[in-house]
Amino acid sequence: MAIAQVSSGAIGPDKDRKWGAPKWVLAAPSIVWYAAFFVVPIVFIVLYSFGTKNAASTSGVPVDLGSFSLQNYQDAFSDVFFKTFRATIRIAVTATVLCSLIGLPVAYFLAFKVSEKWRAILLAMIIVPSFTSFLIRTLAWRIPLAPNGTLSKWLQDWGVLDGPIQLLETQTAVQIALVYNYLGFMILPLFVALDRIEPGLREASKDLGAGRLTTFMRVTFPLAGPGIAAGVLLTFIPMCGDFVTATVLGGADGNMIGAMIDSQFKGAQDWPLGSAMAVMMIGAVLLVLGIGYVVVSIVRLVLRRMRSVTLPEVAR
Amino acid sequence: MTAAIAPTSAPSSTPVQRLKQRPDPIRIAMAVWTTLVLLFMFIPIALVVLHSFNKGGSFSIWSNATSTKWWGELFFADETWSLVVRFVVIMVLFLGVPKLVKRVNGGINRHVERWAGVTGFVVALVLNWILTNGYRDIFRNAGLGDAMRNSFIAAFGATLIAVLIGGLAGVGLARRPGWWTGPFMAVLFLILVTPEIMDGIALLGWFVRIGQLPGLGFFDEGMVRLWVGQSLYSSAVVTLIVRARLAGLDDALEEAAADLGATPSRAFRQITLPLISSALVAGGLLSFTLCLDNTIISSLVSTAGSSTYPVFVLGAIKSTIKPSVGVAAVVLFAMTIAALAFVAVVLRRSGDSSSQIAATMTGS
Repeated sequence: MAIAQVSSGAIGPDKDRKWGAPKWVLAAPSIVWYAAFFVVPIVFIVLYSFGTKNAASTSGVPVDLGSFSLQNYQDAFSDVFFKTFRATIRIAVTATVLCSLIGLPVAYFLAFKVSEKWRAILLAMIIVPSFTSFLIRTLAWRIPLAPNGTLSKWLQDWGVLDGPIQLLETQTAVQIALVYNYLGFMILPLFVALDRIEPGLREASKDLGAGRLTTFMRVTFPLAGPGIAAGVLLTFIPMCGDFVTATVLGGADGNMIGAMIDSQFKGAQDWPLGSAMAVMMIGAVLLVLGIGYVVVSIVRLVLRRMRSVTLPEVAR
Repeated sequence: MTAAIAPTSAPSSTPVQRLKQRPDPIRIAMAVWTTLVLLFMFIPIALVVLHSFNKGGSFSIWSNATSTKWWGELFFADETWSLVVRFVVIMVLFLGVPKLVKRVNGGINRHVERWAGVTGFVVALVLNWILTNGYRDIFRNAGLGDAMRNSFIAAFGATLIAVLIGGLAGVGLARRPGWWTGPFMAVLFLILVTPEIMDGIALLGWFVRIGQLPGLGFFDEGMVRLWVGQSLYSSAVVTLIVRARLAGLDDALEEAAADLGATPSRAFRQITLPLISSALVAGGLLSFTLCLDNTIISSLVSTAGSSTYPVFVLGAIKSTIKPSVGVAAVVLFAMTIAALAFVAVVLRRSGDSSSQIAATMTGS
């Protein structure tokens, strides 16, 4: 060990001379790529959001950047947009909560209650549908939800429903499909976080006399925090920008922000308005995540205060 | 102390064994719940598969009769079957012959053994490309066929970019960390969480803008747009997978190679590259499935001639969807499963547990 340290110390400067290049050189292609096709284009979207619409612009982009205006943000606060905006956030928050409620028992079961062999099989069964084409999974819901489809007929024959299923082109359909589309991306990070918990910690809790519920609430659940955070990031954020689900199943009633932004860029050609909407969407996402973070922090602080135990002084 | 705990902790430490002693109602409830969730996840996909055999003319309404006519509407049966046969024969040859030589000869060059499968796959891919006019000849439904073809070309190019820049960046992050690591990881994180629609609209304007600059016009072409757009997210995924793989191995081997006088490029080729090869293959395949499926960015940046399958379907959504859309979905679904199975095999071979594979899939 000592020899190794000495030799590597002796060779250090020599090695540095050989490598010569700056430390970031291997990432240089990525840095250039992300600067050129991620950072700069998004900066331009922010700029467009303060521009004005000009279909005859010479830059090829139908936006005039000459005059700085807040008009787009005022327009974006119009009733129609704001209604869709609120609906989107509500649908996305509901879907995220539903995903975590549905997914947590599954992740817990996989992490603690099955043998290694079954875990592999069940994980595969969750990964495969999650990585199947998003659009096809959404489109698939048109089959059970079709008003004159088989399920609709069965439900009417059995007397469950009086008339055909009336869910297509509604917010409910979008809600169901969002939960369905993103469930796997909640279960997997939850599972990873639960799986990384040291078994000793849960055992210690039981050995110290804690029941199952107490162990879950005070050991397992807090330690699953990073997984829940990752799951929320992986589901809530893409849900907010998702326009596929709304386009395929939502119709006019189930419209979402993503679809509105998309139509500004493709149909209406009002890029400044679309850009303003996109910037506001990101702002709203960050706001919701920030509120969530603050609420969780406060709850944790309060719980810690309430549960804190003062150990009696022991003479040493 | 230890002896006192042992009797109580031993049974609780292995829930599976404890179940055999007395049924655990909570475990049973969770098993039932998990089964229901899996059914929920699989039934819609099973319906798509079923409806690809629908006799009627609509994707969403079942006609009470099965038929393969929509498969025949998308594919020319003869051309497609001969393509499949060629593929299988070539793969069997390339995988089987080295095994036979090894048995008869008692040994074989390990490079030959290692690369036989990949070489066979590439040969089959290229040969079929030549024989079927770039795969065009197998499709009867030219519109849908072109869309599927574009999907593959786009995903292939984007994956190539992702593996190249992501692999290099992953090695850099693991082996040459420094002041740049923090900001770079922050950008990667932003790429992973930014809603796709933001990337899509940003790139749309950007391609038009830089396409007007002298010498950069090719960036405004449909397929190049797709390559760039799809490469962002997937290169970030590859970067994280490669970084995670190398972070688990200390750099003693590279150090030793350097001490023994290997130039950096030689040490990279002979030590680092073999170490990360499984991560590159897994990351590449994962990236391929992600790109194949990419809808939002693709629908914003693609041009009329370069619509991928998801863009084609999204465009057809307002009219009646034909069961042939479901047929194409089943084919793509089968390919996704094959790619994922291959990812699992590659990661398994390099020593990952199923839990680690799940972690890789979510980029953590």
